[in-house]
Amino acid sequence: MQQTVSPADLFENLRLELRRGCLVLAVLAQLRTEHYGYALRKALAGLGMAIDENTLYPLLRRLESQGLLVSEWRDEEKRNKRFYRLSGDGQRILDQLLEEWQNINSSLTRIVEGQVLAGMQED
Amino acid sequence: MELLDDYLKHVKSYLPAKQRDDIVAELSANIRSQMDDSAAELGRPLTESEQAAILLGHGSPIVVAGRYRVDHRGVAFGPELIGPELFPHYLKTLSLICGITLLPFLVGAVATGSLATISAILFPMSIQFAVVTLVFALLNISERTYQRWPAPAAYLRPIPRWQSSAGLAVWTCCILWLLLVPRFPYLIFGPAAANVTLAPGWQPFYAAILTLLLAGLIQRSVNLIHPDWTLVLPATRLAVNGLGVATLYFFRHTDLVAAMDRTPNLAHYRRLAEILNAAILRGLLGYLLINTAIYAVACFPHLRQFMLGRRARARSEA
Repeated sequence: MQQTVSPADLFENLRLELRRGCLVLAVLAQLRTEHYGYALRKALAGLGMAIDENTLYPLLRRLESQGLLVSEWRDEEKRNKRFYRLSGDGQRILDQLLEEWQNINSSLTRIVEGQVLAGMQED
Repeated sequence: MELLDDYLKHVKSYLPAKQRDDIVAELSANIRSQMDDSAAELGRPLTESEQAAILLGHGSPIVVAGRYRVDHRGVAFGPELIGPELFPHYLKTLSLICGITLLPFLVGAVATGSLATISAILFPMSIQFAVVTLVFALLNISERTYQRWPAPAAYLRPIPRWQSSAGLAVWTCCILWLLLVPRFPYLIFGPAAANVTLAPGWQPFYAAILTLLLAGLIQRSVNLIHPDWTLVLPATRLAVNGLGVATLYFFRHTDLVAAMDRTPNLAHYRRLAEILNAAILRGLLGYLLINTAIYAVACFPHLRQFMLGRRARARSEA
């Protein structure tokens, strides 16, 4: 049975799904330099990768529990903050993920460009 | 940052016990930094509504806490009955109640040496299971339907008009009853009115108590018109109950009730009058002392807010 989802909602769902995988990559890559939660969110937003607080803050804790990040409580501007950075394992996984992402990206580029070329030939 | 503290307190209540302090400390630092940034952009401290807007941007406390949960167990028969936030409490309550039910059966089995029939155990336990599940399912609906935050702090919540109206009705009846007592002592002494009477010391005591009751009526009338005058209730009642205690101290050696001179069995009714005097004074004293303590505590947040406001004004003027 066909579900009645509006095209806008369908696009939004697919867009979120597409983004979800990239978020981990973006967070890990950005945490090659140490950040605390809010500063990381601002930095990512500044680079065009805005992430909702309720997604980012729990994600940081999850990545830490998986051993990809390490954290440390420290005072900054008279406030105790939890700073995260990439762990050794995190760095290795990030390298692998980046390689995988580049492979996917080039495959996708070839697929999309191939279709464009095929379309042009049909015209 | 009272609003933020209140918000974090609500978030904390939905978090798993082991991690809640750590999560709340981290969330607090992040939100405070965000608020500092916004204040720096505006060049002034954030107003309460601006703070509330930032907090609401994070989502309601139950949603925020839900994102941190690793355990997503719940109860669902198609639609969700009990969400992961309430599920641990549901499990604890169910275990406790079923444990309490099971215990007498086990004790009985040990004492009598015979096991109760399974149906005798299953029936009460299945009823308890159904009732507990129903209560938690209703709680779950309430949590999902009504945003519990932002809610004004308890001491700032308007006093419901029904509460003031009910208080007015009840205390008006009490005052009318008290007004009729001198004319109809039967109302206070019952059948003993033929043998005991109000002593002369009753008059000033009576006037003082009536005045305090009238002050209580005025407070309820004011709050009926202005439910948002939240300080009036605790302040008036603290004053009324405190003055009541002082009045009782003043009348502590006064006889309010006396035996009638010509009554037969005078010694017996004198003893009864003594008991009534002690009961009235001690009973009232206990009641007034408890109320004084309750309303002193209720006044405290108002006083604290007033002091904080004064300090903030003094700082901004400096």
